[in-house]
Amino acid sequence: MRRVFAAVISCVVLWAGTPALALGQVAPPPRPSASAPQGAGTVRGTVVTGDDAAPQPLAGATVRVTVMPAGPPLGMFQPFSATTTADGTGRFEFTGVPAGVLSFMAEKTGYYNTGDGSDAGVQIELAMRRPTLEPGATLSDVSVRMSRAGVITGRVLLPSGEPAVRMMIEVLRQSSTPMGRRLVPAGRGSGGPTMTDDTGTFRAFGLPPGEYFLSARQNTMMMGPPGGRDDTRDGVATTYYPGTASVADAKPVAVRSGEETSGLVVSMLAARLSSVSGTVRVPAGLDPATLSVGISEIVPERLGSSMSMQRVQADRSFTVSRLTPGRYRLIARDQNGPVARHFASAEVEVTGEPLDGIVLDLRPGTAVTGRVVSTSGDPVPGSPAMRLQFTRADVDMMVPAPLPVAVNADGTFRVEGLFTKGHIRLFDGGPAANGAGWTFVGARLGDRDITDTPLEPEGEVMQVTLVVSTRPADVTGTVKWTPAPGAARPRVVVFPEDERRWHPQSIGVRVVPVGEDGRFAMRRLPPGERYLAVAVEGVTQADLWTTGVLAALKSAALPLRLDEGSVVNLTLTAVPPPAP
Amino acid sequence: MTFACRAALTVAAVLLTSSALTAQPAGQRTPPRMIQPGQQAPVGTAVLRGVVVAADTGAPIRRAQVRASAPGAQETRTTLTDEQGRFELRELAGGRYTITATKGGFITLQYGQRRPSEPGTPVDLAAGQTLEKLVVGLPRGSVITGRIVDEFGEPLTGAQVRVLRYGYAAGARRLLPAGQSDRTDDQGTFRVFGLPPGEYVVSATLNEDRGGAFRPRGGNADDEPATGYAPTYFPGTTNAGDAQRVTVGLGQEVSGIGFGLSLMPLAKVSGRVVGLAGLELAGMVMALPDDMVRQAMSPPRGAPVNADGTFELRGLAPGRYTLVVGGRGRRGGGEEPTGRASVAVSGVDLTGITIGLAPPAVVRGVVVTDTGAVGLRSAQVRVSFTPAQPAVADAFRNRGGGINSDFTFELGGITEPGYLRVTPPPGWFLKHILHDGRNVTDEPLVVEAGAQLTGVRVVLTQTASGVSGSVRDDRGNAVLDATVVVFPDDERQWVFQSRFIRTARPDTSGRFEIAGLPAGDDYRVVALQGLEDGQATDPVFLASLRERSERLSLAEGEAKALELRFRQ
Repeated sequence: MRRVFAAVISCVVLWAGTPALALGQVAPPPRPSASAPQGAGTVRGTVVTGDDAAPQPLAGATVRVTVMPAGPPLGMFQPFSATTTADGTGRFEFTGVPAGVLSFMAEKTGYYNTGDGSDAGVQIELAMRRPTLEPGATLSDVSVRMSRAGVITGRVLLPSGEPAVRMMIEVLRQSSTPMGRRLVPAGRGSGGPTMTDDTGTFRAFGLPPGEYFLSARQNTMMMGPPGGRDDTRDGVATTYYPGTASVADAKPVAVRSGEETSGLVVSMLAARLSSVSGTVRVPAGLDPATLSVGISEIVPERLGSSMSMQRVQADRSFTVSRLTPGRYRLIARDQNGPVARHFASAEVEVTGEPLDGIVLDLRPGTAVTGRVVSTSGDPVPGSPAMRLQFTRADVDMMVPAPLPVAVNADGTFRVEGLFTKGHIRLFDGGPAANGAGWTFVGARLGDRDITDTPLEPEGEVMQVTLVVSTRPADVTGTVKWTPAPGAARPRVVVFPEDERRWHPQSIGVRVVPVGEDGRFAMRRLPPGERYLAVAVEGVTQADLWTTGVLAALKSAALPLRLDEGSVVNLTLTAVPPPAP
Repeated sequence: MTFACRAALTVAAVLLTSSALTAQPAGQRTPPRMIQPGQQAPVGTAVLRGVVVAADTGAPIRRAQVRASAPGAQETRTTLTDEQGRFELRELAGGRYTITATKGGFITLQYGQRRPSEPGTPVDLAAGQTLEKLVVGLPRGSVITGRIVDEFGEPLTGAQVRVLRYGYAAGARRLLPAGQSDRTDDQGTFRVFGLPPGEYVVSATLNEDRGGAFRPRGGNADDEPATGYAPTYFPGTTNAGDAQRVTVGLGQEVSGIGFGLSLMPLAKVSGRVVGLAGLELAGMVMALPDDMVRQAMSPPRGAPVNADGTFELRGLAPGRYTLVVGGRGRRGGGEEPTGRASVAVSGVDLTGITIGLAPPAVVRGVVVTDTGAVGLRSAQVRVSFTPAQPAVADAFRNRGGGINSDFTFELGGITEPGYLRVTPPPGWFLKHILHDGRNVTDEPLVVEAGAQLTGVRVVLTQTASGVSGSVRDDRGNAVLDATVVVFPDDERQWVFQSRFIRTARPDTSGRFEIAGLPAGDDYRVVALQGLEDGQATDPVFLASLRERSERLSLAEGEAKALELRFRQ
């Protein structure tokens, strides 16, 4: 008897995962040499919990430190990180830590990382206070704060009232995303989606205080077993607490620190299941055995979707069964390594009757070639550290993305496999804080400036010119602000005056946190005449893209001019966050 | 088996035998069809209908998954029962179906199954036939629940708990995973449900990628965890043989199965892959635990092979491992060189391990028929290679598959001794496999690294021996709950995947059939009850059967009819 293997992968905003059908653990990629680089320092601290006024040590947490260079935008290389366990008095120590901006994250069952600021509202970032470590120095008295997490537990019932066994429970919360407010999966402390047991009971733990939504759904959509069929008709719909199929009618559940919110009952709704089947149109020369078909439900209010993938049958057909009514995205792609050469997608509406005859027409991706030049038009040599990447305009994780490639020594490049629009970027993927001294300033398609517009794939090959400045600008200085207990330190935001360049993929927008001593440094910015600079409290990088925030900051900002190769020194006074 | 267990399963039996089946008399059975690869299966017209109930109360079970599978007709169909516990599968092709019902909280059972780990009763479905009132009674599953703690007695979150039971796999009695695994929650609690009654060993492990719960010492980046949690068995030993068995009765919940995971020293194993000159050493080294149980519990650890051939595996718990190198993994080309080495890890770092790469071996041959008759299509024949030592789950499985249109075949990627496995189309059987004039059908092929074994002849025939018939008790009544075992008297053939050891159960009309047995005059045959899946390949068990069995001889092409006496 042959069994069906279906890989179910949850794609969240920050993951660019290629569905992997191979078993076996893959070793983490090799890190850059961590043998004590010059200026390796020591960091000591304590993990604490409780009141800001009276913190108590917390034993046994696992602490991770990550070091970001204070300089240019991050590329592909792994930032330094190390992990250790705090002892019985909550103390921990790291040795051999390179210089840079430190961030800490701690993990302990039943607790979550308390971010900057108070506990009001749900934490979006796990960013901790960020001290700067000078080369070879010792930093003591770091305090990593954790708070007691909450638990949601309850039961899920079938329409008949019986316990719903092995249903997938997802805990979701509202979040600001570049696309607006969306429901996203709650933090990883809860260990991801959980399943109900034989009594229909579920338990979601590790939740920071806040409001959450619960969804219950059947375990998996079934990808057709070879030569087989699934005739199941009566099923259950994806149901939100307390018992609605509509996200808009879902009721939030409040979670308080250290408390268990229990006794919840989710009554699942009946739904008529059906199937979707069709064929994949395969270009000549492609072996169907290398192709996969994936399906994912489109729920507009949610971000991050589950995707089921399965190999295409030898006769190029595919079948997906046990689908609840809704809108779905079907994709087909080849699986030759991490880069997809061919891709197809279709949207289908499942209404409860079997759908047949879907054709997924595999198309090859577009290749992008070109060269890198300086602002004066001279060719610029490439290097393995000069890497080209596409940042996606829409967060559509089902479409494969081209892998970053390095620019060749002669300044030319070629990247394959562009299927969807994205902003083309060059970044420095080399080791931290080196003196490479260039920064990406623009991209051109023919004579059209595409620095701030995504490149739409068209045809087989497209020619693009990338411009770098070999004399970027630096901005440094100090910020004056009144520290308040529990409040995070302000951040400095530099952004262009031109509103057309206000978008998450803009190269003109930079945010850095302010050090304990009030100092900040931004390195290698694109030179330009019309920038604005402001220091602001309580605003994170993600908040900048909420409508109106940058406009509000504009009025409080200082005009700034960045000449090529200049180092501008500013003294700023932090302003309060803009009113919502 | 406890009384409660017997009682409940007897209820199931009563429900089965009292169902009115429109069974078809033997002799009008349709031979299984063969679907060519790439061809759409013709839509059949047979129908299976029935109901799934709880074995103890008879109450209908809703949303139970029912799967009907007939490998000979290439049919596998699944459905869920409705609000009254009923199921219907339409448009089926005729064939010999195994029907399985699954529902969370209940024991997964095949139609006709009386005991855990024993197959059920095949349902013989003719083309166009409608079989109704099939009743599958599912006994309630048992539950094992408890708490896992760390070395401080604190609850351990995210530990993978797996329940194991002794059973037969790969020709020997081993600990095998049972039921679904569970991960501990924030209170360290686990709950494994849906278990058949029996004796179990409870194991727990913590995988490194689950929330960083290995315990790194020291905070240097180079300092990978020096200690970690190795698989531990209730009540707290790292040796499966010393584990205390947990007995669960039918439908019983056993709680309080708690124990602590102990920290063990994890070691690094480093060394070098020595390749053939000029070959690209891309790929990974995988460390496969020799213990089948540990293989099931965590994914194997791997490390990349650097450009100079060196590698460093980290975080290995004590135990024996086979280090395997072989290019890009399961989907890699079968021509890539592979290598393996055995290491014993005991908490101390190992260095200087050399793994020699060697190109895999190739076996070439041709498929012919004994009479030279045509009518055999090359697309219907499959030839593959199975390692003789299946205990080590090889991450780089040898490929096998179809043969060429001129009936030649080539099997690449062979790295160890193994058997040629031939799957002929229906109506054809393997007669023998010859190499250099020798009959190598039941011998493992040993091929030197990089060597090519050519001139293998696979001979197929349309005449084969077989047995069929019925099992009757002392009063002459047909017995359905029995398993017929045919095995050779020669102990040397009591190997895993031997062609000479076959079992079958009578179908719903009381008839059993074993086709495709090689001719021989020193067979033994017996009908018995309570045979566990795979038990027939256990040499110890077969030796005990000799006395109870009758002699059987099969001439070439003889289809012998047997009436076996079943004694309790």
